[in-house]
Amino acid sequence: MTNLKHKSGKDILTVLLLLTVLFQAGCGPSGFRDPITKFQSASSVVIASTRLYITELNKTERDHYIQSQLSQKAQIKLNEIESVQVFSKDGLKARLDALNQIGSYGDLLLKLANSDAPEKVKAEAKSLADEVKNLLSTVSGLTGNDDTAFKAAVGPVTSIVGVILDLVLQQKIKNALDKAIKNGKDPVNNLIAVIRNDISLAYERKRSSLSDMRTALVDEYNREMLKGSSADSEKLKMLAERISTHEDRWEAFASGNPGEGLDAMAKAHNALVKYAESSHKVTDLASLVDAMEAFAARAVSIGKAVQALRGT
Amino acid sequence: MTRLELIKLIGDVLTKLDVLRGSLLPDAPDRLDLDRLRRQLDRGQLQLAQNQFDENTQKFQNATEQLEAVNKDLKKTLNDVGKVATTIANLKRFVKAVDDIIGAVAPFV
Repeated sequence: MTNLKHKSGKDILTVLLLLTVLFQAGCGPSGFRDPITKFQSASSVVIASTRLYITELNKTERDHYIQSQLSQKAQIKLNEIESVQVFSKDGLKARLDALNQIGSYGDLLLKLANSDAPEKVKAEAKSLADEVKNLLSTVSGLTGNDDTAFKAAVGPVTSIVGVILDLVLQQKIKNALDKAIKNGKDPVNNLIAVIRNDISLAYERKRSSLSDMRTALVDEYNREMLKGSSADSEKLKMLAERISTHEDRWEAFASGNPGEGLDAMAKAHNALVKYAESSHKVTDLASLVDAMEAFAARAVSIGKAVQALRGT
Repeated sequence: MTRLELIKLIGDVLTKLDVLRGSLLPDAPDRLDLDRLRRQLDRGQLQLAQNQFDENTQKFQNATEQLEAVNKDLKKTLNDVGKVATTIANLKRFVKAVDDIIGAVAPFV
């Protein structure tokens, strides 16, 4: 019994100590630095992976077309090479700029909630407002059929972010936060969802191209193998190695969907809004830290998988 | 079915079809048909990926239901190198069903 009492007392003491540490972290600006840093770095990884992935996608589509014409011994046409690209250059740039700005907006939101260095926050708001203006200009020039949903999703975000940034510039921080909480969450999440949808389409096209390449490489090996005793052993070895390398990429590809990183980004953004809306309790900070940890972990695994896909 | 689900479904068929093609020698009698059908299906998927359209119309929903029915038949033999003739017949139906979907949503908005 004494032991049990002693043990309970020890447990309570541990919990109290833990709560004190968490409470101190939650009350001072330094407690938020870790989630801010995590959100910034995870967003950067997801955006960089998405950029690399889509850039590689256009190359994959080109190579796929060339390989397909080669296997049919058909004419290769430059206009057909251009027509197999999934995104235009401007369409791609606009999506990546939008993701960058969602990342910056998330950071800003967290800093507003923390009321950390109002002058610094104001400077960041000014810079973000300029970026938003540039994005609007790029988006208004998009004419592709595949840009319709993206254009429709950008408008509400730039509009609400513009209003919030104006309030920040006027140093009406509380109003800015209220506006962000009440009106910002859905448009931002919708924009992430639309970009995620575009990325998923791109992922499917890349899957199709890589899959076709699997057959093409096996065919090349089998054609040489069918020559029987006159088959070139060195060439067979080289072709087998190419199959092996491509099969490794095929395996890595399954875990390299940047769309999942964007899902994690949306969840992290929701956690930021929830935190901004809260009264900064210890549990709110703990939830925020958990969400950022999950986002960071997902970003790292996707970043690694996308790196492994380079050169396909 | 949404546009993305449709594109994924076509992608699933393409990847299984590639395994079948890659399990046959390049000069196997059925390879020409399988390769041609693969190219047609790939073109259809690209067209659907490059163009946005209204996926909430009844025409689109009806056309995708047809595709799902053909897909059920196709899945029964697509992994079986001993049933290539049946697979080719079902693939032709599948490609036609994809063309019908494109016809139902075109011209693209």
